[in-house]
Amino acid sequence: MNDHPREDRVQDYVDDLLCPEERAEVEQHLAACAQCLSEVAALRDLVADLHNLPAEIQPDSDLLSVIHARIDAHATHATDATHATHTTDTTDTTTAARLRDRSLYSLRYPLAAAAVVLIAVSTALTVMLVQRNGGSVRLGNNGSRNGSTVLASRQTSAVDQRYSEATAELENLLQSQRSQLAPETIRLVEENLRVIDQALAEARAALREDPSDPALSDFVRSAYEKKIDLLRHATRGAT
Amino acid sequence: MVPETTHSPAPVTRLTIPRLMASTGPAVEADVVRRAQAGDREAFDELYRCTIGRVYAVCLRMSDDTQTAERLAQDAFVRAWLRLDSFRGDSAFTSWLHRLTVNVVLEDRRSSGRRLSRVENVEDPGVFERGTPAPTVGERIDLERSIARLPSRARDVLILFDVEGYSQEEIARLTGTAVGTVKAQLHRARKLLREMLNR
Repeated sequence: MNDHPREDRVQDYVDDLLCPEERAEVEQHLAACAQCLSEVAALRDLVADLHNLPAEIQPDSDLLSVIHARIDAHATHATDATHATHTTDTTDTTTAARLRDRSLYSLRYPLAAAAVVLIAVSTALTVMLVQRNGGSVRLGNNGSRNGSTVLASRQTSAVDQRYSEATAELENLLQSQRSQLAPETIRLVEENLRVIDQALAEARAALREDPSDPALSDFVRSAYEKKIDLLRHATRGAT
Repeated sequence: MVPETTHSPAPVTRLTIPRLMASTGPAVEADVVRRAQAGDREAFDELYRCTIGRVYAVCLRMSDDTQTAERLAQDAFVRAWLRLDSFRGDSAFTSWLHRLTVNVVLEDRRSSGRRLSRVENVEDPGVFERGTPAPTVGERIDLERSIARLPSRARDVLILFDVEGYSQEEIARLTGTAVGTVKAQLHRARKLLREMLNR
């Protein structure tokens, strides 16, 4: 049979987008053409499979902390812009002092957490590395990597980059707000950021050696979460 | 770009996105959304938890890798937070969020001008194993991987029409193309898929 319907017509037939007259024409043809009938059946099977794909896929990790950090950064930017349009040179020193007090108060938990991070990460890493290397701590190359290790390494890089972007955004914001924070607050924040960064560097170095280890991934995530938490509180305190 | 506001006519005829909290009903959903609109972060977190699977699925299928998908999902939720006021409650929150997410993905595509997705860019085929359990998991993964190999425009249309249930007219509006172009891309995508799957 030579007068097969056009492909777009067959597609619209499968998608139920033809008017009754067009539909009847196609069906009349299908009744006499096994080739087109087979084509329609195959297309319907594919469409049915596509319809049945799962509606939900969960990401590997919780994205909420980064989302919160970005929302906070955005809100702080907006607040800064508002302040910039309303603030005069005669800044209210009482208000400034209150803001500084508040920023220190709001930082007490993140600062405590920073110290805990360093202790926890350093201790756990040391124990793990000693156990694996028969008593000697080593961060050198572990030898050849198999496919799953390379894959894990790529996933680790993706997580690393995601957190790095969020923390970089907040660090830039904090830098722009230094004038609104008391010197003591700045000192404490910077000191604790150093603590967390040190913990992060240790955890990342270990993870580079063994990217497939979920515990090491957790250490890195945990350190990043603490850093984001500290930065969020610090930038909030400055507004 | 199609606005996410819900007071515009709703041309979507095939979209079958469930309400946010099917077990508790629309009243509870509306209450959670209202609280989030008032600035309640816990309510927003609840919205996130109920919708992240759906948002991430769209982002993953329409982007080139898990990293991009996570970034786009973040973008969608940040934008949702900033634009919550524009949700009027005329339709389900999930429909509003879904359309917002598609806009985020398509805008990112336009701004980056990237040619997306080849199968080698899908770092971990296992990302497709974490959805709702299906009787033929192997076939489903083959299908997902083949979708990821499609040219980006054809893939967008296929995802939006065959997986997400948007009408061809709605897809034409979202992508800024003619309905005829949508039909052509859909035909191309299905043909390529069948070739890849030997069907």
